[in-house]
Amino acid sequence: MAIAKNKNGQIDVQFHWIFIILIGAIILSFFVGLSVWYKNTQEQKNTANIVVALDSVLDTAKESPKTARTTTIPDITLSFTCSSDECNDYGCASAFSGGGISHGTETEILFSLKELSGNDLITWALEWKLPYTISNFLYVTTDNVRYIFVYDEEHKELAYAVTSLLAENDYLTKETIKIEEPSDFAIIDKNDNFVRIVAFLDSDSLSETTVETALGENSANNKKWDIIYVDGSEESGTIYFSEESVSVSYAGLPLLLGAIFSADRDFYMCNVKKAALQGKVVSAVYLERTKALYDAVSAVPEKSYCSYYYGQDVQEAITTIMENVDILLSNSIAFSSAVQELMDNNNYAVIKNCPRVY
Amino acid sequence: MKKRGQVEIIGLMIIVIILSLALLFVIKVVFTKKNPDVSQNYQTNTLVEAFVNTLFQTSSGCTTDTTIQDLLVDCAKNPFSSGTIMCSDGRSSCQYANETIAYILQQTIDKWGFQNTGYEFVAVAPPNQQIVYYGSGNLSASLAGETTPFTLRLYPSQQYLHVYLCIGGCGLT
Amino acid sequence: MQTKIRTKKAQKAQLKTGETIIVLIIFFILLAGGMIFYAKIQKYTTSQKKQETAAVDAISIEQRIRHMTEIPCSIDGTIIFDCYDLEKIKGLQKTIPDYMLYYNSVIFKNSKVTITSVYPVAEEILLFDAETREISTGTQPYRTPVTLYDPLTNMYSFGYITIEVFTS
Repeated sequence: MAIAKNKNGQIDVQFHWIFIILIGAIILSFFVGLSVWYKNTQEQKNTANIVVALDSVLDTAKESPKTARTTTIPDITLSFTCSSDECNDYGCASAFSGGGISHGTETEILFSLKELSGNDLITWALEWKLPYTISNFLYVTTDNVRYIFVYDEEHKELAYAVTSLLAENDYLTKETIKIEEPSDFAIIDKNDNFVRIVAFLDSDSLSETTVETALGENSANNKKWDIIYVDGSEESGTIYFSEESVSVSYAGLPLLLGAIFSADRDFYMCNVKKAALQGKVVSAVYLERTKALYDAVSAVPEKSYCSYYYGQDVQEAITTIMENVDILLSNSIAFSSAVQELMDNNNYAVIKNCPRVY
Repeated sequence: MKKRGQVEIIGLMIIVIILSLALLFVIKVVFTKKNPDVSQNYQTNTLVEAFVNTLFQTSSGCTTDTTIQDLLVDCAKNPFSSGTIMCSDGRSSCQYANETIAYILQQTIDKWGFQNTGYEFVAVAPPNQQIVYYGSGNLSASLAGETTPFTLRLYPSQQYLHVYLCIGGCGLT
Repeated sequence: MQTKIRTKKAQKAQLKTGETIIVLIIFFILLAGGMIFYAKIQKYTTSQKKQETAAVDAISIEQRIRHMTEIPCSIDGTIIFDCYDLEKIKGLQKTIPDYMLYYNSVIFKNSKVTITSVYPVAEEILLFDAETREISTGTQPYRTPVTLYDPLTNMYSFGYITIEVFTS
């Protein structure tokens, strides 16, 4: 009897310890799981805060045209998307995101690469005028992206115009190279995240092999460089994205710079569509204002001479801009004459002490 | 056993008491905590700045091309003679500025609920001469508000006109 | 004797079990009470947060209006901040119905925006009215003084923008 009890006790002790270890493991795994969950939640919260803060940074940058700014960003990769196929009455499907948290930018005109990472986020804005201000274009990049501007004698005027404008932005990593022949072009690897070569040369004149040898081969997941070719003047021209073998047009330096900072043709065209929508809205307001000014000054004999500057020609010019802004890239000549009409009438109105057209 | 039972019940009671105290503590912290009202501070600060900047740019109506800033500067340069600008209705620049600013304040800040909080609009010209004053509300009970002045230089001299708009009183004597 | 001992032991075990059950019941009652209390506190703080959010929304709308390119004063295309052209405002008033989706979703959202001129000209313009929901209780209308320029008389008026945010 006593021996049986002893044996029972021995077995009982082992089960007791197994039971303790099991329960202990369950409790421990519960708390470990809890702390992992908390850590992930906090990381997501921090990323959300970063995205919200970045939105504020981008808003501020957009409202300060021709002022380059840098913002130190934490070690996350920012993604920018903009789809030109998904546009509606007021904007296009676009957003920027970091760490899984995204923020919509449906109506914001923002030119950038699809992914940005680096220590410093560089923002820069330019006003887009037709000739009244339509919107501010925001250009976003980082210190890890290098821009190389290559030009020859034939294309030097446009190259000067672009590089002089970009000289106002000290934060950009950029180089300007003048060459006699495309074969003279050489490049050194400086371990950048990405290199954009902006060639004010004839299309496809640069040797991609030279670039590949220096910077490495592009792969589907890791695009290290690309080349865009620019041809035209400050007012209008074309940009050829060599990787996609497609051309797009630009009208004015702000749009040209938009193409230089854009990831690809689709990204550029998406923002052009957003700009066009803004153009329609702003032009509609100016048209109503011009009509009201015309009616008001016509009713006052002492001021009736001012009505000439808000008359049919001016209203038609604004209407031309409003109705054609979404095809402005293909109809820049009609645009130029409408813009000139407004500028001329505005100047005369100022001289004659009449209210400005814009 | 009875004693053990009683001891255990006392133990339970202690737990209940501790939990109740903790709950009371939480109630006190949550309901009596004063959250700093960030949006209210922002609103007040931007209101003051926007008000004064807008006021300066407003066409006075005294003459066709004078703003309220022009009247204030003229009055500040000549505080003892009520200013040199004579308005189209015969009033001096000092008088016109005072009455116009009072009107604008009555139509705006008074109606926006700051009458109870109390506020003061004061323009002080050198040498420490109050050329414009408008106060509203119970200032003695309020804390002194934002007292950083807006300054207008009295060209060609190096002196300045100081303009204050203080929600809660400027505390100027 | 042994039966008596066994009975006593069983009674003791029953007592212990009963005790444990009562402790557990009291524990769960306290837990439930705590959770109900926490929920009530959360409800209170959520309603406070709602009011705060409405105030912040009004500020956001004011910022968006400030950065619109349609209505600010301009000199040859260069925008002057914190100044609004009255004729552009009236033009925008007429344009908004044609672009309602844009202005409703992007700029003004659930709000009522009024622009009032105080001096020297008194005038009130209703720029936008979401019209549908009740005005948020406990939130004051957000007002900000602005300069209003009349191009016809070349005069700058003292005015203000009033933004009232609707919450459902």
